[in-house]
Amino acid sequence: MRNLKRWRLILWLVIVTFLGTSLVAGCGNIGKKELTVSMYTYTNPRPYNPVADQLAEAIAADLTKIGVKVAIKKFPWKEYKDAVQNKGEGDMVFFGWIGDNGDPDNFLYMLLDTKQISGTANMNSAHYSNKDVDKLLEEAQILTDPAARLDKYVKAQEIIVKDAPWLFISHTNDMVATRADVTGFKLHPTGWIDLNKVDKPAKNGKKILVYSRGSDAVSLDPAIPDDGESFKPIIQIYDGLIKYKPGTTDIRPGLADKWETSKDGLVYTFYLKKGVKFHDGTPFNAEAVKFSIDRQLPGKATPDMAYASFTFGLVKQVDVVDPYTVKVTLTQPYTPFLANLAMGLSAPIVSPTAVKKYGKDWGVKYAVGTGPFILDKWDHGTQTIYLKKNPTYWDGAPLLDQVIIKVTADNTVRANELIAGGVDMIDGIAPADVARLQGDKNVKFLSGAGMNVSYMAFRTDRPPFNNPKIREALTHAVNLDAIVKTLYKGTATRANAVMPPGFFGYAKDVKPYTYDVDLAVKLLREAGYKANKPK
Amino acid sequence: MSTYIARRLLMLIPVMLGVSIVVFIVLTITGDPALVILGQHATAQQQEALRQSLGLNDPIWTQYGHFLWRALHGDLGRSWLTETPVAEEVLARFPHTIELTMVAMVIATIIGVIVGIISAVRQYSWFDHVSMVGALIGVSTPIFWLGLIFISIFSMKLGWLPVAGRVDLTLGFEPKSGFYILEAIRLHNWVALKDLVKHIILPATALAAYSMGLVARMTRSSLLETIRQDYVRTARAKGLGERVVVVKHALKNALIPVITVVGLQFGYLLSGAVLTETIFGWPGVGSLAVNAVQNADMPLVEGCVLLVSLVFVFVNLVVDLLYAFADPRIRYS
Repeated sequence: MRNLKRWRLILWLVIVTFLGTSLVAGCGNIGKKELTVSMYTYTNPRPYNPVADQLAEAIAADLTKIGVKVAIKKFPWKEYKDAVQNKGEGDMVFFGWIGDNGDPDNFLYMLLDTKQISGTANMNSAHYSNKDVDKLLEEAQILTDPAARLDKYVKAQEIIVKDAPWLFISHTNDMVATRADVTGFKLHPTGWIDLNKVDKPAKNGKKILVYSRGSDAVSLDPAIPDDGESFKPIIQIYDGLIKYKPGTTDIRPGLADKWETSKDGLVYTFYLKKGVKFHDGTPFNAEAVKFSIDRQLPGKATPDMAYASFTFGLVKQVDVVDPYTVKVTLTQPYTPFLANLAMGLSAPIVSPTAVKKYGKDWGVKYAVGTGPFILDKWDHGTQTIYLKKNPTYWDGAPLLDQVIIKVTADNTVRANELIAGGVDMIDGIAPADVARLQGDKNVKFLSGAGMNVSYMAFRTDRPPFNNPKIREALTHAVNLDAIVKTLYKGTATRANAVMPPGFFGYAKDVKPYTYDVDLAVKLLREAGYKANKPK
Repeated sequence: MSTYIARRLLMLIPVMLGVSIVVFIVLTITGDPALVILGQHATAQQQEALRQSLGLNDPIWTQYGHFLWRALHGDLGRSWLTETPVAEEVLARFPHTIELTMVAMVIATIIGVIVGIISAVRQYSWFDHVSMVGALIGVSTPIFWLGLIFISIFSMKLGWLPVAGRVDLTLGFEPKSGFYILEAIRLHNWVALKDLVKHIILPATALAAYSMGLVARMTRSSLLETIRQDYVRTARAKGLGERVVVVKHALKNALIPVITVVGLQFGYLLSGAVLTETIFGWPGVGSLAVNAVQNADMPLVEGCVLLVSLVFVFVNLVVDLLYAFADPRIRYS
């Protein structure tokens, strides 16, 4: 009997303590509503986020801990882009960006300028608009002095980080693995897979390199695609007027030997390399340059030319001065234009004869450029691209006889293929496979800072996230250090702002958002929402 | 017999109509094709113009009518992503799937029947116990798991067989059709054939495991039942050897239900090819369909489904006809 009484007492005590603490804890919540938000995520691994929807789940879990109701919706990549970019759904959406030309303009203006909200591709997924930022970014496009430009880009990022239109998540390291007997391959910050100087021992008298990746190219016409898988074969087949130096985003002459910029920054004159021939035997000259740019100019570009307006949107006209001199006139001074011309997509020069001759089959069955490798066959049935060497390549003939670019959809299967020796080179390496690849003596594992950023954008133009306080609250509620460490296992670096470390434009003094649950709860309550400290 | 076949062929029409209606409805309710085709740069006017030109503004039954009319003429439309004709793309992939499925079916049937017979004849022997437990494991193991285990043992640990793919691409083997194994034999390219066999063993065995187990168990139980029948006792009483009794008298009757199972397994193997092809990087209809679904490329999904269901229905018909050969008591009229 006494025992029972004691238990009853303990029970009452428990109930009273529970009610008491809930009352105290809930004090700040009286009369407040719950914050209910939708979170949209893609389910396919992306280069800047190989764990796909696990990232969204981890972040949602942290938000749920302080009492935010998060409804996660998942889509395959294409449908995801349709829902978010075209239909404008989702309060919190996940995206990432792989830089094209190494210029901060390519990150900041592309992703956060007001003009990109309803621009060509709805790239500003946060619908972020800040006049001060716009001004800084647009001024930096005209300045030619690197130090002055850097200053603008750092200032712009300081404002952006304070405004919190994004949760800045991480920069993924670029990772490529090859068989140990593959030599001469170096990573480039842009992810450029330069196979021109790559070599491997001959088998049966031939040097054939098999490169495996996650999915097939969309098009081999450089004007059309915007995906990395099309980029890889395209950069083997074509050249641009300007190229990158190995290992940096500094530029060097490509198909143009040299160039001049007019004083007002509007006219660029390119002096072309002589004696270069396209793979179909037709000569490379000023007409070909004009043709390649003209077809992507505003008004002439077809809607499927993904990069046309980014690369050539400011070009007013292209004039052939003589067979080896081209004059490009811009509508306004734009310093990153030269960096744009080094890009692997949109900028490369195509054979005008081949484009006209092949019509609908151009880019699908045929692709003709001046690059180190010639397209032999694109077998759509088996998703395999066969390239053979261009023995008369102007920058030195490649060492390999043939390059076969094939698809192995599953990351782990692809890593296994490399370890077992079925392929010579792979990319798209899952964090879970890194240790295994690093530990295998038959494999060379290369990794370097990637020119990318992964982020979660808040829809800043409508409730609830048009309130900066709520955005700020949530940035402090997520333990990103832990998430990046656990999910990516050392294959990515936590982001402090937009630009990745080691690149021009990196804001080295900007501190990443702190993980501070108390602050998050305080801010959320101030914004008029319920919030609980996690137990 | 021929009227029966004709009637069965006629019955294919409503079946395929049903399949096509389901596929078509799924296609129409899944997103706006204009967005997928034009991408995100398109203006509203461009999208509207495309909808108009594709007839997407017509009532759904008109659209279905057009779709059916084109499909009857062999035109399944173009892939939204690559803009290649769907029929071309699906047919280019189909031989790869057929070869994989056929090899899996041969493995499943031969090993399954042999194991089943031995188990039945030596009922309750250690072989019987071991093989029936093995069959149970085969039936209950998911393909993808088995596939990964095979890869990790035979490709990664032992290094006997390749991890994935159809053929070593560096061999320069350039067949005219997707029936690589048949092509290699036709071209007398023994190097390629050896490589092709190496590539097909793991996916085919992983794919066959379920059917193998099922066929073995089915053969065993069916044969056990037949052996106990009077006519078998009579055969033994006549003084026939045990081998003749089992193989010539009992087995023929015992195999009738097995044929049904094997026939139905073909459908299972076709659908199982989706997983197997994904794991083993096999360039067949299965991986094409997975890709198409991931890219929301609906005409392509539709093409894959229509083709596979057509084959499935045909195989069922062939199985029904085979009964008559196995059992003269069955007559179709």
